[in-house]
Amino acid sequence: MQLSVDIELTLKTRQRRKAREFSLHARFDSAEDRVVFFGPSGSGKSVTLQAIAGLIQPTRGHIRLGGRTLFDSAAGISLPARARRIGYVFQDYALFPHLTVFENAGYALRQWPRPLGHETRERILHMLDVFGVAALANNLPSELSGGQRQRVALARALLHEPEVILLDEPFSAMDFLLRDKMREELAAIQARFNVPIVLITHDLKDVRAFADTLVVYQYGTIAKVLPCREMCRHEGETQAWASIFEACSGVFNKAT
Amino acid sequence: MELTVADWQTLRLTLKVASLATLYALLLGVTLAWVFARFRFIGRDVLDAVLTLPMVLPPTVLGYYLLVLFGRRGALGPWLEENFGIQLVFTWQGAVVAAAIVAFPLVFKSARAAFEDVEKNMEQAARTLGSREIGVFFRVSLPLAARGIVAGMLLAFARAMGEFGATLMVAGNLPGRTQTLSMAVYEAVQAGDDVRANTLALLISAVCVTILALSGYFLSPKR
Repeated sequence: MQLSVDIELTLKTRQRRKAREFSLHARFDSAEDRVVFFGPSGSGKSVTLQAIAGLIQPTRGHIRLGGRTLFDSAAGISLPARARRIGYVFQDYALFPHLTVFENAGYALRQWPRPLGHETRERILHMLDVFGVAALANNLPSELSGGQRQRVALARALLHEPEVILLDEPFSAMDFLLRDKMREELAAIQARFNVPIVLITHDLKDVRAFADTLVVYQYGTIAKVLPCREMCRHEGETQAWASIFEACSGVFNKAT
Repeated sequence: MELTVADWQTLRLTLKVASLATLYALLLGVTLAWVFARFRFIGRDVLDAVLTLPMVLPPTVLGYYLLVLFGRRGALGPWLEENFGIQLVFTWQGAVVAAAIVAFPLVFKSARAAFEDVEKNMEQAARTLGSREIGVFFRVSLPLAARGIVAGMLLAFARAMGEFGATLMVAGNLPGRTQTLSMAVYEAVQAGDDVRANTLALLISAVCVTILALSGYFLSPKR
């Protein structure tokens, strides 16, 4: 997947009546199918992800994905989120609480207000089966465990047939045992559906598991872009990961 | 203690006026609540205050404003009558307008709070899944805000049922034409007809208890 991002934006937020400004300048290119954003909280990883999905509009720059221009301020292009075909797995999964697991998964496929067709229903059930949650099809999200919720969120995103799936700290709400399990599951799903992913994390284990390209954030800008897969090939895995982890911890040391 | 045909007619008119008033208050209230919850615009706070006014103004003042607007010599009255043949003064339609305006802030306030409580992530998720804005509204925002809206709607209905002051000013108290239950009670008391006052008071209480019981059933957390 060819992903090219070069964006600038300023967010104004209010915290306890004080106006705060956060500016981000993010620029990187990657041709890999598994990209990881790593960096301290508030460094702009999540904002970049939202800009790629079309949930935030940058003030300047461009976002290109696999030959499509999603955003280009110079050319006046900004595709709305609904037209970008990008799967987004929110940190809290953002499952619709009033819809069943089945209806959640099938959200993108339903030509509202028409009901779902027979074939589409089969397709949704099949996808739920792949994720091992078919038995929960008629349950509400509130009745699911954290791992099950994530599976449903992934199934929902995949059924939209996205060109890339963006995951905002997908394992942060899980305990350590579950985290390891879901990490393996996500890797297997990524390989099975051959869908590119961009993942945000604070966890070096996730970096090790998913980073073909690693984008390291610091203070609203990108400190380093590391081609991990390339590095492994040239320097050997042990040497490469040692230097990658060193670069990762570097941003935290400088931050404090 | 017995209900006459006229009493049943009064009840029917009361329910008709209250239902229509609630419907209009609902449509307008939900639409404006969504606009207020979603958009920032100039004059938002002032408009918000004006829209909330019917809740705090004395109903008679409100009725007076309505007369000034829709009366025979009012600003809009002659125009409405010429173009649409609608007459609001001393008609049951006038009672509907008065009750709708009095009940409106109750729907508006609770619907607005309900829309503001809908997590932004839910609407964003719907967009990334390909939903147009109208789909986001009907498939996500509205269902998630439904409980608050229904609560406001029931309050609005109860308020419209008991509407007295504004309705009296605009529609008058014409038995069989514009007289609602609350006015009939007033009239019975004035006339010293204790039996009729008792009967009507019990009737109105029974209807209100039914509404409250129904709302309690529909609004309980888990059915």
